[in-house]
Amino acid sequence: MWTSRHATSIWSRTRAVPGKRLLLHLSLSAGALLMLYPIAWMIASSLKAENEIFADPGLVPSYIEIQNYIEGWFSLGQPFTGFFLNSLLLCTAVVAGNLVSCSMAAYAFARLRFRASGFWFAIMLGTIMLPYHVTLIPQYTLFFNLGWVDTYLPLIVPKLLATDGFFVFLFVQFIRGIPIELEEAARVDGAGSLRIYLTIILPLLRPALVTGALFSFLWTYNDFFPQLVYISDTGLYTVPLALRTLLDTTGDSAWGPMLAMSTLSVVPMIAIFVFFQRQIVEGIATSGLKG
Amino acid sequence: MRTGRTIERADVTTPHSKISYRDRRQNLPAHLFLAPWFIGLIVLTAGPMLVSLYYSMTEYSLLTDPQWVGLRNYERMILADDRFWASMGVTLRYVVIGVPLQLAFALAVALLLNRGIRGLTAYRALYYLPSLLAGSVAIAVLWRQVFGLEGAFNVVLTGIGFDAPPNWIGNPDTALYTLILLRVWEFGSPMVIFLAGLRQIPAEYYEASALDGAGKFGQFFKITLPLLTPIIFLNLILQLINAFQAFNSAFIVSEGTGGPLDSTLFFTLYLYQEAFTNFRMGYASALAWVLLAVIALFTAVSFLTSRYWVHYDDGGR
Amino acid sequence: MDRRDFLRLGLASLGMMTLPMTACARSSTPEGAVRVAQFGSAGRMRIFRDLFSAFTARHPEVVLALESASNSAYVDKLATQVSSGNAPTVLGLQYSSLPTFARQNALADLRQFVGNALDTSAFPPDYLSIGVDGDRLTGLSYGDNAFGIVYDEDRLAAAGKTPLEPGYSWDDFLAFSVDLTRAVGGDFWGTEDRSASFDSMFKIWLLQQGKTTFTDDGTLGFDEADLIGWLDYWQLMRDEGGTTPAPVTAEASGSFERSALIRGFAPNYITYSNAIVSMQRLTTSRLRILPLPVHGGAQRSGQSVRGSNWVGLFALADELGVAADFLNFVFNDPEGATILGAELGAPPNRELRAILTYPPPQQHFIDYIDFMSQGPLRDAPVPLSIDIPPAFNDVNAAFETAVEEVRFGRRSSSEAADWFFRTADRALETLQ
Repeated sequence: MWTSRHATSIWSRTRAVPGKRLLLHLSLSAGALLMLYPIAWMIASSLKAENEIFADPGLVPSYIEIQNYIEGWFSLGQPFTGFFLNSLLLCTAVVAGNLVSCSMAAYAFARLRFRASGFWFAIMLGTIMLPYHVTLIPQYTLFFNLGWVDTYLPLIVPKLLATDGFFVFLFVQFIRGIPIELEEAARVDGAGSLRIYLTIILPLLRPALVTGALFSFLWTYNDFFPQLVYISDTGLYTVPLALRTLLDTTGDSAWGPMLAMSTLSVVPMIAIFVFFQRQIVEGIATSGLKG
Repeated sequence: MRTGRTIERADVTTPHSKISYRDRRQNLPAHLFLAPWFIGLIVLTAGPMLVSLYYSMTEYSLLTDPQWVGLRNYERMILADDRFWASMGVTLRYVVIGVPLQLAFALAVALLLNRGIRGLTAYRALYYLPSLLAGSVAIAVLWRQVFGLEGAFNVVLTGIGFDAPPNWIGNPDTALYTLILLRVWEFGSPMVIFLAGLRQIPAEYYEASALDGAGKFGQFFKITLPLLTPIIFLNLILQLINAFQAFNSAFIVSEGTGGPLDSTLFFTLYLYQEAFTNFRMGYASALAWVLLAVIALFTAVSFLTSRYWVHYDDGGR
Repeated sequence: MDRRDFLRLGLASLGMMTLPMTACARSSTPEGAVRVAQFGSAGRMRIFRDLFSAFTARHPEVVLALESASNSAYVDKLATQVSSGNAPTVLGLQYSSLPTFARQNALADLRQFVGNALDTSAFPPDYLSIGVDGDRLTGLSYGDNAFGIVYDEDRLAAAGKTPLEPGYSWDDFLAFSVDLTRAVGGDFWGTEDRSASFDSMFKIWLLQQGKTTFTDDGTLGFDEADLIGWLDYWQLMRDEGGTTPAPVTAEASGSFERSALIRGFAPNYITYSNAIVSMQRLTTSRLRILPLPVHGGAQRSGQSVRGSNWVGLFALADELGVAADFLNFVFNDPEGATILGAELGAPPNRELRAILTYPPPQQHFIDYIDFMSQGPLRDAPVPLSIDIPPAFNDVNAAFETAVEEVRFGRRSSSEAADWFFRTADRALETLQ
């Protein structure tokens, strides 16, 4: 639809000047090096012996220490596989919950006229302005009384109920960027709000939905504090919980294994990122991609 | 699903023209679409928020029942708490400098990446990498090494002729700027949003303007920028809120102290210390509500000015 | 992807959503398990799991469940749980948190178990007095600990120096450190700068002069002259080149890995003496613990033996009896004490402490604790409830700020002391 047609026009134009293109690639690569440094450092450090990580800031270990990976993988008495699966499960549920509930709310805020919509919109934004530290205890008490502590429910159910105003606002802005004429035409043809939402808004919202899915996934994957508070059973541990267990600032920190597992924990994130980015780019005429 | 069908039928039976549709209220469908959000608000969000508002007017040590003290927490904060003002200053500087820098950087890279170049996906992933690591404790170690006395940053500085550069993280005059830099460096999220926004601009607009003979710059200022304003605005609001609440980077880089000399004591970090180190949840809640008021003020101002520079394709309803 | 695909994706997502809710919504921790909370490293958690298996082998009817977190996250979670009445039964606590939890009536009185479920006959005489708050015994130390200075002996030897003898004075320490810097031609500094440590340094300096940090009624036990004396001592050390300058001190703050000793800025690390076990893992040099300096003519060394890791029982828990049995097993049973070893400090049961065998760095730590609790420097500890008043964190933070201001040359010692007293007094007044 809209997305598939747009790119070719710009892209075909930039193909003409090869010198400029080279310059672009050079500067992009230079920037990319800066972005790569932390990962390179992490990988290098994860291969170093414990006493070398801090004493030697260089990127080249004096010898390769694979032991960190083996030790890290089994350091919690059970293999990391379980933590990865738990995180995957949690993130998938959160992504689904956020996409469905937040896009619904966003559609109402962006396109439907209803009483006090401005007021409710302000309330929606207001809910993401209060630091979570001060609502944690009442929320914990609530979930404790529901018997949900030490389950994933406190982490998933709020997402089903569009409590993450960030995503509502994200989708609202993107919906408002969609030309309204299409919907008006559909209305004239007799389409109702649900059909417009499903057949016009959602398909056109795809770049934003994919972006929202990406953020939901990555942020949940990294989100330490709520998972710490609600999950106690090691069997339910997620990746960030397991990682932090390897680090103890006043005792024996297992820095080597921690960095080894941190490095591994980035792999699914990169895979997810590339996968979702493909979703955004997909559908664009491939001829435009040939540089 | 079944309720959805009834709305459809209700809509279909009402004949309407384009104009009357615009004026008509759609209370029922709107409420149905908003139902999950309403339930979440009432059951999960509003309750705890109101409770924290109540806490802010009590003395509450987490482990025993709250004692009502009226507005005393707010009074103490404004009249007798140096660290309140210090931390507000730190956060304001962080927001005012960090957010525009980060957004400008994100937009610039997004524009560069939105061209037909080979290896696009790889570049995007690379530029998003730093954001993937946000909140990782490894970053804290790394940042301290990079900006330490003998860190990579100083190696570069000495290489280009600077003599004995300082420890940027250990120096109270510069520590905050390393955190601002960290924020700018983690520009991936706004960049991805910008990219999605660029993707949404209909190709027809460019085709039409190309036919009119508009140059690249003309197209950027006449098409790209105006059509991107809702997304710029979105990023501005989101990053404002996010930066005001910034916590993780300061927490892990300073190990929760906000040092040296409170120079990285973000407002939320101070709030956290009061709540969970000193167990003064009443006071911490009061701090949180003051922060909410400040964020709301910044957001409201942004919304008020937005009508002058944000262009909506729906006619600015 | 057309819209039908999109709908299908939505339905698939909904399906996935229900999956974790049904499959993983329940924890594997059985009802009625006695929950034990502990902070620390993954290695420590393995030790606790071993303790659990050993204990439940004797008591098959009991199920113990571990709730762990690393240091920085631990108290946040615990406070949240306590405020909702859902805390674990056995609470591992740092010495500074113990009085806070005790004052809020979150901790059960352990006196009810002493002499029956909990045998304390082999403990040192003043062991039970430190965790007393009012007339309740709110906590026990998991193990004895004391402050000390960990020295890199190899580095000293390379500079042609031998460590000072215990009982050396603050002047000796100054001269030794300044000498050392000169001897190595400024390659490193004679000592690290830990002047900002209120509890492990300044308090000891005060006690040796017959003063305390806090008094029984919760006010400051020292005056501006005392603080100025401390600030000036360290400024002299800095001016003479005996310790690291401010930027280096900032660089070497925080964890063991970043310490001046490991990073090579200084040959020592001033902290709890059991840190030697963790430090030794980070360096191949031989490490050795020394006591802190003592003022010439001082009546007391100020360097008492006091635990750093404590344990209390949650007042609202049901299974207090089982928990007391578990603690007794950890403290007094040869099997339990062997498993725990010196992980949380020197075993408080003197008889077992003497029988157990320890790996080399731990043995050195145990010897040091024995020396500090029996040798000429032994001193009586201050009860935690006096040592840690409600405004302790605020006073501690103000102290650190005052020291850093002087370190960075932003305030003179008298200005910093003046500012400290205004800030600390205000905190103590408002928070009593």
